Amino acid sequence: MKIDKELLKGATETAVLAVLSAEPCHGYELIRKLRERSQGVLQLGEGTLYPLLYKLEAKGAIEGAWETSTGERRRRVYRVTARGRAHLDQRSRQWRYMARGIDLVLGVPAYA
Amino acid sequence: MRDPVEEWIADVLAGSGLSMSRRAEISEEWRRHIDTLIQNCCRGEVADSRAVRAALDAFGRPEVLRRQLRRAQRTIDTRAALSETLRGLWLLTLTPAILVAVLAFFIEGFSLWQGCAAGLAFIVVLALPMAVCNYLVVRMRVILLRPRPRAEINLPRRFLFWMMSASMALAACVLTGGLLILTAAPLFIWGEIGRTGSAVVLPFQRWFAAAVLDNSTHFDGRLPWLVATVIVASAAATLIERSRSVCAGR
Repeated sequence: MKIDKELLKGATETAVLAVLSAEPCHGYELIRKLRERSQGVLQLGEGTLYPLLYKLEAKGAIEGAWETSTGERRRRVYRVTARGRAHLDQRSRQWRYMARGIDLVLGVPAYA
Repeated sequence: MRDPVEEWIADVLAGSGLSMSRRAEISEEWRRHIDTLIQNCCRGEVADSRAVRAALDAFGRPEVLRRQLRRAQRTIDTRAALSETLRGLWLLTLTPAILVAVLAFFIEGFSLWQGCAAGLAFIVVLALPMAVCNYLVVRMRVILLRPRPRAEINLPRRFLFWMMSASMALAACVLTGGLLILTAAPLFIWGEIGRTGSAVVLPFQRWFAAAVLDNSTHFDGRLPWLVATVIVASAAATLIERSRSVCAGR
């Protein structure tokens, strides 16, 4: 199912931070992990991911560094900073709160 | 023949307004990503040219990507300019403020706390013009110098940047002087309040008003010297801060 862009806007940033907070990774890996962890719901395109990563880096939520693993060429690996973690915590709480509200409005059985 | 992937990346980044070093970094990062995508496609027995096409398509249309990069860069630039402005502001206001505090304490015979209050008052007065000046200089540097390779930053462009920076510093100094006079004006008009009022009320303004009112006896002709010193100190601090930033490649 294709998700409306407006709905995805805020969620993508939170999802990227959540994946990176579990383990630092480079762009390609990040897209794969996002797809796996969301069971195919979040299929982020490369053209969306990189500008988002650069924005998060500018905000100080993540930091990128070139790293070389054995037998491979160097890659830019991103990890979450303390500020990013705080931002993620806040966003997660807001997201759960909002999701609960939407579920209640839509009459999802768990809350109804 | 040029590599189609390199060519595609160069084409996308060409109109993105990024600095050369940033472009090189992004180019390398994307190259690794595209190479991995191509490898995965080839493993699935897709022909080379189709694999390259599929990998590039995954990044989306160049104009959309360019637009998103530009938008991201604008956010980055604004944040960097603001944080640099705040960082620079501290240095730019602190130097003259310390000077004022020291002058008030050692030369004018103010008490220690009065000297500190004078310095603090000076920071408040100086902060606004310096913030405006500093922000404009930082933005100007982005516009004039950053998106171009070093070779393209020729002498006239460099000269223009330094001239504009110097004008900004001068404008900030003039503005500071104006604000000082403006804030001291009520005390100038009702001078007695300034001289007999509580020492707690902005000692610097009192000091400044007293200097204007009673220049010959209070300052013994040292007011122009004081103003000149403050202006030179502000200008020097501005230039030091600018040089430091330019040398650091920011």
